[in-house]
Amino acid sequence: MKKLLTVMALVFLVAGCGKKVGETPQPGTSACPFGFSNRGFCADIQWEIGPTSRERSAFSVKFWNAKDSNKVPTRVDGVVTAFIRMTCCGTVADGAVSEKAPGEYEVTGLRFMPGEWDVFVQIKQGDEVEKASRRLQVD
Amino acid sequence: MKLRKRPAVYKSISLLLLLFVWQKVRGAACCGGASNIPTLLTGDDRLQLTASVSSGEVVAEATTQGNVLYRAYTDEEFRQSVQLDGAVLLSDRFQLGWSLPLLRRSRSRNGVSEAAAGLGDVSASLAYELLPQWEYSPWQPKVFVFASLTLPTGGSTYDSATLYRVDSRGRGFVTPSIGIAALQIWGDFDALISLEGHHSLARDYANAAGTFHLQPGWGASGSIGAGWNPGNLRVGLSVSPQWEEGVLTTGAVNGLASSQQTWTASAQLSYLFESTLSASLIYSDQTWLGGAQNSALNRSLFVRIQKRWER
Repeated sequence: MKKLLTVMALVFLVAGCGKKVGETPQPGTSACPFGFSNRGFCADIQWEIGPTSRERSAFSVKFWNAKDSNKVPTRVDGVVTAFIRMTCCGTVADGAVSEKAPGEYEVTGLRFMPGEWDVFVQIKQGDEVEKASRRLQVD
Repeated sequence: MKLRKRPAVYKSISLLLLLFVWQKVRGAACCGGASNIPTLLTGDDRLQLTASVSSGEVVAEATTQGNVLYRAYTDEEFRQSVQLDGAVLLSDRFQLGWSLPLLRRSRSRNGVSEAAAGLGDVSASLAYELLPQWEYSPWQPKVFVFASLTLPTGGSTYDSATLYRVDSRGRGFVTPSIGIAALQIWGDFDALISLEGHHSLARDYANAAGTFHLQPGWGASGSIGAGWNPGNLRVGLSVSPQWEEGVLTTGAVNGLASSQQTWTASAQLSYLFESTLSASLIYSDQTWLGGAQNSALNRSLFVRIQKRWER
């Protein structure tokens, strides 16, 4: 019995070594938290609600030209979308995106679970998609 | 259908054995999960029906590094279930099984509560008695092989629409699995072992951000246990490891989730009211043995009633 338990333990421990989470967020900088290098844009988000698991979270996102040190909001060509992905489990969920002003959007309805998440903001134009993300811990 | 008779030692004891070992083990709070070891007819029966009621609480989380973080008293998550399992003999050695779970999940964190109830992942199985015992043998166990199919009727975290994703009652994937189970009895004592492997089928998930191709990996679960049967009672202990490879996501985003692992310890007390009717009280705990990774850890209490019809 002891040997059997040992064998089972070994099988499950070896099998359970697991692979690392595949995608890590692009490193942003304070000057350009969300970088869209192909399009020459930077973006940053401001949490309006949350981030929290206790209610639907929301943030605003602002885009500006990467060369503009004044960070003046600039309209982007393409459709802006946002989604979140839980790093442990791969759970993904999107938010509803609405344009508040040229270059400024509001993302609402994000449902987090407590844990570590990546927040993705992406610009889609035809088949071309460019996205940037930041990692955060949600309570 | 011509059916053989089994050694008398299996007639009463197998009923209690069955209740002991083939219990569903629910996995991570975030990602769902369950073992795929089906209900089996192990005795001299043609049909058996099992009704189970359970109540459990998620008391801790195991991180991807294997650290166990106990939840604060302000964070309460409960899971209740009513489950109807059945197994029917198709021929002398083939049998068909099914499982219909109804689940309720609730979570309350710092005064914000959410709850949801509904059907969990249903499953059906086909089992074959690979190594029957025509006569009792203390050396040769009874061995069954089985194949099962679990359908994502309980939804998943991907399909969820509530806070805390409490409406996620399953894994969200069609899951075929195969496995083997063996049991042996020596007088008042018995032992069981089972092992199951599966690989869920890929699916796509689409939202406004794009299409996500979800490719689950391999998974396995097992159980090993032993029991003592003084008269109509049975006292048993079991250990049930479960492992699930992380889901690979491609498409709108590329990433591989971490694998999940739990070790469930269970203690069971069963009583045989009559030769075809029994009840069990089972306590299971996923914090006792350690070794868990990337999973919510439960403590649960099950009450089960089982009725069988002899051949």
